[in-house]
Amino acid sequence: MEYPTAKSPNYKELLPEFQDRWGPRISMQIIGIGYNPQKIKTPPRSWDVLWDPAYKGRVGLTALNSQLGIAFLAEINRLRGGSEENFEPAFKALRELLPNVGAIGANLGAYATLWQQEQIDIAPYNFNFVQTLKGKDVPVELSIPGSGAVGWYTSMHVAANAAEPDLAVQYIDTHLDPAVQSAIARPPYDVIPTNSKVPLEGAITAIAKSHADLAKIRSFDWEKLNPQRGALIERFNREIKL
Amino acid sequence: MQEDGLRLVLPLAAVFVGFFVAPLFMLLALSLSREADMHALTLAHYVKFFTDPFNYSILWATLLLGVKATVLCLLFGYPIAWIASRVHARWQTVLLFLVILPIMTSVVVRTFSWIVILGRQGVLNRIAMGLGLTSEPLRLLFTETGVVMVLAQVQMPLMVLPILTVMSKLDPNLADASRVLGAGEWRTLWRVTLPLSLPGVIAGCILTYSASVTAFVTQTLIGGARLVYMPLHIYQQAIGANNWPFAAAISIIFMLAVLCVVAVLNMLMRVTPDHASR
Repeated sequence: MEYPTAKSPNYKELLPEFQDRWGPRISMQIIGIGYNPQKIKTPPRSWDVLWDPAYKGRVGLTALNSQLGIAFLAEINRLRGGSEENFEPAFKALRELLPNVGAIGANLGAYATLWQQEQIDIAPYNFNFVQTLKGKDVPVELSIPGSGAVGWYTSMHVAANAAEPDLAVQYIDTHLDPAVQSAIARPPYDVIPTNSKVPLEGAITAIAKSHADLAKIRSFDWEKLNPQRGALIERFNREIKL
Repeated sequence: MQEDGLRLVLPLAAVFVGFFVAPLFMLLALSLSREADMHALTLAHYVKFFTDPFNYSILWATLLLGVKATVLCLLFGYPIAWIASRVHARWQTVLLFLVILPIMTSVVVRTFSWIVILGRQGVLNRIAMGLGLTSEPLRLLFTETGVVMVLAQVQMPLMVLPILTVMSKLDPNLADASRVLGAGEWRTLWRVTLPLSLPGVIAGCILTYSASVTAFVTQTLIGGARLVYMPLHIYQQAIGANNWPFAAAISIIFMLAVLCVVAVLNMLMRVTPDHASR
């Protein structure tokens, strides 16, 4: 159902980019290039660094089941001249990347293990996971490439015919509360806050200094991407199979 | 008497039918539907599976993986069972406990510890490089060799216990008689103990094979996403691509394939003459 903004006092504190008639965006995720700072001294400034032959066998990837995988593929597709209708550039780039790939994690849990066991040195990764691993003293940093940060939003909605719509709205509104947002912005949660009253602190300031910066981060056209997920996953599995 | 037996077995049969047979029929119905809502019937998913070499190459690779893991497991498991059946009762308890200990820990934990052992910085590589056997870390993770090794260890209890059970029931007089008649230890093992323990070996092989081919956790953690076997294929179709009917079709085909292999092994068990009773 449409989000009743009148019943949600914290809604108006969101920037317009984080507002939506179907439900507010309570957080966002940003992807970049994860790298091991002990092995790679200069932060990689471009996605093309992954294709550098110097990193043969040290690059990691995650299966397309996860949002990270799809986002990485879509971003490479865009940079290589493709579009949501044409993914050929992305798969061509993937084929060229394969000799460099050391391991592909079947899911994000296995992916995190690759970093912890130092099986890979450089790979696409997202902000939250990097923070979580850093908290566990795993050597990993996130570098935002020169082509710009990309990300997506996490939003909350009230289902149609909800049994208790007012309680649901209250629950969502609590997520927008400045006190809650600043609490979950701290480690170990590291959720990027969207409420403009909550100042950005810590690691996120390397990516964005203010909420206006966050709002400018490029996202994807999910309406065009999502129907293709099944086909993309199948194609990806065929391309990477040993 | 017959009626009592029937009534006693009825509760278990009801549970079996309700929680195993019925869901299996639902799976079959889903695999024959065009969409997940199960309105239209079609054989398209089965046709799709068999007309695409990608699909049945995965099936073949999985069945072969099971054979490799079972053979390796047998090579290590048989001696363990043989030793356990011949030692003093106190040592037997210790040995048995060591064999069962892996089952008591979660398979996820066991597989993760193998990642630590086989990794580039892992125990195996440190020893190999320390001894000077190799200058570059061995690449064991994310290879089929690694998967076979880990499967063989993880499923070891399933192989050892049936063999041990059969061996401990063997009449020790038979081995003594063989020795009295002049046969050495190896000959006794080859001509007396091995044929007599065959039913246990086959039972162990059936269990290990079924467990190895369906070991989703071990195959994906050690194999990664590039070594695609049937369990990962089913998972990706069901959860990743949301293509439930196709995933159901793959599951049915996989189940029938494994049942065929198990049936062949089962037939071998019936054909081996029952030496122990003579």
